[in-house]
Amino acid sequence: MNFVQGQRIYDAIGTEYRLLSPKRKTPWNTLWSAEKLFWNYRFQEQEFYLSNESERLPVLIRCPSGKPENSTSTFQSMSPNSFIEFEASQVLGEASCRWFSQPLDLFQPHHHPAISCCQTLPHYGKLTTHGRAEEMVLCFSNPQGRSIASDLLSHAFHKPPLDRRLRWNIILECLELLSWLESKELMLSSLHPDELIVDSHGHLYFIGTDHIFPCQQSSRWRKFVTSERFIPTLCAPEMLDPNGWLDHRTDLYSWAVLSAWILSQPTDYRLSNHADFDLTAVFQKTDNPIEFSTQCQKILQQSLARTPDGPMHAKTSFPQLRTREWTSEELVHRWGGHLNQCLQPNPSHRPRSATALMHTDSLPNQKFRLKTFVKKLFSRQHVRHGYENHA
Amino acid sequence: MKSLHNRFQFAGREFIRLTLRRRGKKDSVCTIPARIANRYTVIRQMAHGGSGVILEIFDDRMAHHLVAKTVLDYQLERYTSSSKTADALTRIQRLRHHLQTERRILVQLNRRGTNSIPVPCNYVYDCNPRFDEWLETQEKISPKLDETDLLRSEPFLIMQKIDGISLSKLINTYYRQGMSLRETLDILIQITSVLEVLEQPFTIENKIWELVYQDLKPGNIVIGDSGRARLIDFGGCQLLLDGIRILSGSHTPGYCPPEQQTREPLDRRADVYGIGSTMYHMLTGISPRKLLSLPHSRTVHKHRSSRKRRAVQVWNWKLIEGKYPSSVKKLLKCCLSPEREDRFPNAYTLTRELTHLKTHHA
Repeated sequence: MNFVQGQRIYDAIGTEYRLLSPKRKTPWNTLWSAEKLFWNYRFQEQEFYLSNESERLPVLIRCPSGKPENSTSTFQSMSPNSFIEFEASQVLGEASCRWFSQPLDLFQPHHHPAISCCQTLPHYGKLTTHGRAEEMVLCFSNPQGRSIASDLLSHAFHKPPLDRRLRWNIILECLELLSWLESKELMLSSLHPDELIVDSHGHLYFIGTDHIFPCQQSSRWRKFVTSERFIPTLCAPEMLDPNGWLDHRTDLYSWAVLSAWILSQPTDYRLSNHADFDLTAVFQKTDNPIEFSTQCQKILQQSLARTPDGPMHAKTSFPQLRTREWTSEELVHRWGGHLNQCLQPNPSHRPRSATALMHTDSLPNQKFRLKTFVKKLFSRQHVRHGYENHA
Repeated sequence: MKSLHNRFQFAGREFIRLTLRRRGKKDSVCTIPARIANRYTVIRQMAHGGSGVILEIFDDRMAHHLVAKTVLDYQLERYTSSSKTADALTRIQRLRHHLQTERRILVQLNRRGTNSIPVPCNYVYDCNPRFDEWLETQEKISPKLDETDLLRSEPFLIMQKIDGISLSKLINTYYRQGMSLRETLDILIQITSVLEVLEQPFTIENKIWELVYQDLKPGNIVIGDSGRARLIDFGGCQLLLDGIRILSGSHTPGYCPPEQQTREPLDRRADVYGIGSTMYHMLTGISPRKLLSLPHSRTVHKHRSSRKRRAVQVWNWKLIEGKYPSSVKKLLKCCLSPEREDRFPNAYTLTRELTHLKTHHA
């Protein structure tokens, strides 16, 4: 089904959305910026009316692109809905995860050739159906913030002290996300800056949940998903090898690439042009065409040029990192060993898992004490919902 | 938490009968569908307030746990005679209007860049058999009741279920001596930034909406496992439409400012006071409610009326002095000033002050 800008789609019980613009388009699916429509009720006149544009909830809608012609991907040509259904049930629906959007709907939309279809409330009015799409669409909340690849954040990366807090927050939260996924036996497969949203508090949200898959089915999954789905510079070498073995260490490579990119965020670089971003070239070339900020480039190169024999041990560096806010240069200096280890082409040379890397932190400082404390409360006997006792 | 065992069949569907216990008042009984809008299965009753009930539900379509808020306690038994039908209808409309307004506020906050609130997932309608029973008792139905289907359709606000622990529970159980300044500021800065957005007037349908949260207290703040704080329950907001108060909202004794007792419209400075009283609770571990009953707090105040006192008259500053830097007491005193002119003018200024305090003292 081809969706068009401005089209309104609705399910069988009348929940309605309006597509605004494609946010991210791939041959497999399209992520639309959209809005959820609500019907208000005028109590005096006793009538329903459609809320105006300023009262619609911003959402994201993922629509599979259907069966692509000449597709090399067997899975995609078999069932365009399978990925969407897996994402809805096993990734977003499985458990509340603070980095993911709130899942809202999964349905086969009824559609109408006209852009505006329902003039009356679907619950009470006449619901005219002009057919139902074969493909399912997945609707989820749109986290309010900016992608870390956006111009605004690029600017923030160079504005101390926001700079160091932001970098540190993103790197740490990404590692925590990987650790959470490991606990759920899921794999991220790639970590793209466009899919990481940062809000005004520096909290991170991940909207690229469509390429998460179960670890245990990685070999099966590889049969269905070809390497063309991933950006070579942002994912581990084994992702591009059809026979490569995938596990949690694959994600650590992506995390390290992203971290290196964040720490070395150049002034005039825009990730919109992905083809230009060659990490290897950045680290190896002495006459780098991309300008790095201040001393960061030198330290990054020095740190990453170390041999894997002598990486800085996480146990010594993580607690120190948490005791204060570090500048990017200091972060790179401290983390160079870890990043280098994670960026090893051979997965066996990388750290075992994100969780192992996280657990080296044995001395949480004051900043994170509450966080650690609240986490402890989240054992089975202590989990309580905030609404309890207070309506 | 209440399990939902009292079930019955009506018109071929399963319903649950809930008994809402109200302190010092007669219990109220209400009914909800076991499966709301043919999609959301009711799991348990989480809480109830003056008229609203919060339920944990399971979204069958998305296999996800959510929260439903609805108006169930209409106290229809008060309106059994036909002469009171119009009063009953007014009450039903008013309570439903509150629920709809809460959804509209949540959408506005979300649109304005706030993630620290529950996402309003859906707004659905379903049958409420209690109205059938009530309508049968009415001898003469008002002409406006022609649309009885509409009256029977109970609205449900479906929201994101926030996993976390209530700040009041966190303090009462684990921080009886008070939280550290750093932790307190980390949480409050997140909350004041929501208030910053909330206090900005916005225009809908050519009318200017002005909101005051006015029920700020630890019980309305949920802390997630990552230390992310979220503000819940926007049903108690005061709403001014073009300067006219449409909803007066709710408040909590001890946390509310003295001007709450005058019944005048509140302004942004009421929320500044709410932040101050919440901060006092967080730092000392002592609920401002307890200060209401202290003997030394019987100081005469210009807002004091014959009605039950709702605002704290005298704060015990000894609990702050010595334990925290003097700038903390200064900030708290400014927030908790009985005269609103002496407080910080808005949440924006307060956020800057809290951030400054965090940078220099925490």
